[in-house]
Amino acid sequence: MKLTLPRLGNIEVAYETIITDMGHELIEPPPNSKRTLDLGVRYSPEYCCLPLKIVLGNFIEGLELGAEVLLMAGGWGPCRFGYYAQVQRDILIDLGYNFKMLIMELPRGNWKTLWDNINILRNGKKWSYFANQFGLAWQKILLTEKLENKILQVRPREKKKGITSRVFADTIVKIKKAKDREALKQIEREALQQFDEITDFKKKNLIRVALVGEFYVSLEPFVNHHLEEKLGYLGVEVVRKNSIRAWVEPIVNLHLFRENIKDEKEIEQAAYHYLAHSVGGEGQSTVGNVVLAHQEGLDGAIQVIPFTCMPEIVAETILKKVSEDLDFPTLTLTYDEQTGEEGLNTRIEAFIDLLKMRRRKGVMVS
Amino acid sequence: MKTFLGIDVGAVSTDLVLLDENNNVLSDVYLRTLGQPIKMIKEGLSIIKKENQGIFLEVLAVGTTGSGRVLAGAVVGADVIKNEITAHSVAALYINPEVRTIFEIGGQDSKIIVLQNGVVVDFAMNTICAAGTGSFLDHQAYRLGIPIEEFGEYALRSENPVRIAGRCTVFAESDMVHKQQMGYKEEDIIAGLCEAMVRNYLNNVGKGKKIAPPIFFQGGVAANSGIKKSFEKEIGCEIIVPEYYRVMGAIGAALLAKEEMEQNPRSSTFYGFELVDKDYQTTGFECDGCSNHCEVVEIMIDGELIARWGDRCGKWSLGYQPIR
Repeated sequence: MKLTLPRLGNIEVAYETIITDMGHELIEPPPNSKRTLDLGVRYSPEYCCLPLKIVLGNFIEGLELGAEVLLMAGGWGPCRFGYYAQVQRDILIDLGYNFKMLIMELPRGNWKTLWDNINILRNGKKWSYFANQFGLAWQKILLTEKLENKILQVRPREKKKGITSRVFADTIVKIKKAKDREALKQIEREALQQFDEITDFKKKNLIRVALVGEFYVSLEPFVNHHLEEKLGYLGVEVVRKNSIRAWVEPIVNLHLFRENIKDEKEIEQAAYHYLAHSVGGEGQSTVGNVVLAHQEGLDGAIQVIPFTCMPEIVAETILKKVSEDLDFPTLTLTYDEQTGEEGLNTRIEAFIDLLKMRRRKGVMVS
Repeated sequence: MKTFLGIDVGAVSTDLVLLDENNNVLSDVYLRTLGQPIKMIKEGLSIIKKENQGIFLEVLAVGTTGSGRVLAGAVVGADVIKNEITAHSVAALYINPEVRTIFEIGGQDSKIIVLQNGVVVDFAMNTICAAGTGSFLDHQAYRLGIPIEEFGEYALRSENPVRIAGRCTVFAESDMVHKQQMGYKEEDIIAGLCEAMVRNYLNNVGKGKKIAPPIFFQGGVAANSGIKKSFEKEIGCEIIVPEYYRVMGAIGAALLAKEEMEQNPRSSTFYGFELVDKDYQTTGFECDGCSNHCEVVEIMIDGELIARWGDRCGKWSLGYQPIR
């Protein structure tokens, strides 16, 4: 079975482990590009948000390469995302493609669909093997995220411009190829050592900024115009508040263990004074994360929004009050399909200047 | 004479300012960019040279700002390249350290900057709509057949501004056409446009911002006395238009360059006024090294590469030695 999946940051490190190793043929969608964007924008409803359009572009590019099955996450919520898969399936059918769509979602009541989908993925392999590969894939994602968070500290301190991203790109290839958990541990050790070698530890007291907002936009560099990299090159340490881990764990825990969702509780608690209930998407956690960022002593927060995202628009309005109450600067960046970056650069440079001025009153030049 | 040069390359205008050691403005030049930033920078420099004929100008530092700041920086060999929000704040703070709010309305974008005790504490720029900017007024002036320079005077003559929708240029235009067809006076329509623009600015860019006096109004649109009056009417306090409102960004860039040299003393990388006689070429190509398909731009002087950018990975932008 020829199978393709959408892209999101470096999530493709796990694809071979759960697809190829089960005896399927993995059609890796080409990395997000202007073409992906063009295809997605052309065939999506105009008022839909950017993540839906990009993922649709991924699927079209995957189908062009011969994919027969599309694997997509679903759910009931957290926002319009819950209906992405169905909408995309209908659009692709209208376009005349022949395919089957597997929607992985936790059902409300009827577990049979999920069970059937898992069995299609398992492809007759032993349950123990399937579980093991799934666990390994999850470990790959966790390691990738751990290193991604690490390079946010390394990049602003790198000894040579651009070296961090190059070292990390090599590491990603290694993680992708790793066959077991031992190999992953070895890769982690090597990567951390390499990072230490390229870090200038004399650079201390850097400006630190939290990155909050919508999940997909904050984690997909093509969509946010490599925001983390840009900030890193400005000498800013980014603290990423969204992660695949934080997104998946509560969903699984909620149904299997009903515990161990401490992080999410803490964020909700922090938001409580301003927003006492969920508004869909990451709206409430955006507010909570900004409050937490202030408590952690960061200099400011940047919120990223796909244009027309309702939960984040609610959060944006509330953040004005949070920012004023806590005397904590926030900047909101709205992303749509434009590819010009000068306006974005101006805003983030000015925001970082503002943070620097707050630290060293009056001195404007960095 | 020891001097500092500031260059602000915006979408609509290219501004240059030459300051002396005591920050007095020796020359200020305001040119329309007309989509040819390099040509306008050269023209601006030759005007400055001409205005100061017979004086030996030693340029100690150069700063560039505006949306074309990177290009301008490469073309002249700038010491400091800064965003326009910081540049405008620095210039306004130099003129009045007490300033609390800056309205800056340019050709393609508009900003509000909030300051406290001489420090920028908040700012906003217009997002995906150009309705509150100079281009909007330019376009409407063209439609009405009135030179943009006289727009303000017309607005001031009005006693009964008509209401015009200001949220979207397209709707504003149809609203305006309808009012014309109904026979409203030209100056009332123009005053209505000014009010619509101010409403749009305050509702979009200024939404949720603390607007406190003293308020500075700078950028090309500050030339329009009709807009200034509408702002005063809407906010209810005096709006200060500084003497060099058109070139505040360039003044800020020059001040930043000067400050940089005081912090980290060194000799300027400025190519000198001779650069106006040099032949600049820009070329571009799409890199096919990976799926990003970056659009790489190259700037050359007399066939020699001086700057290259546009790629993500650094393959092109880091892989050359600038001739400095």
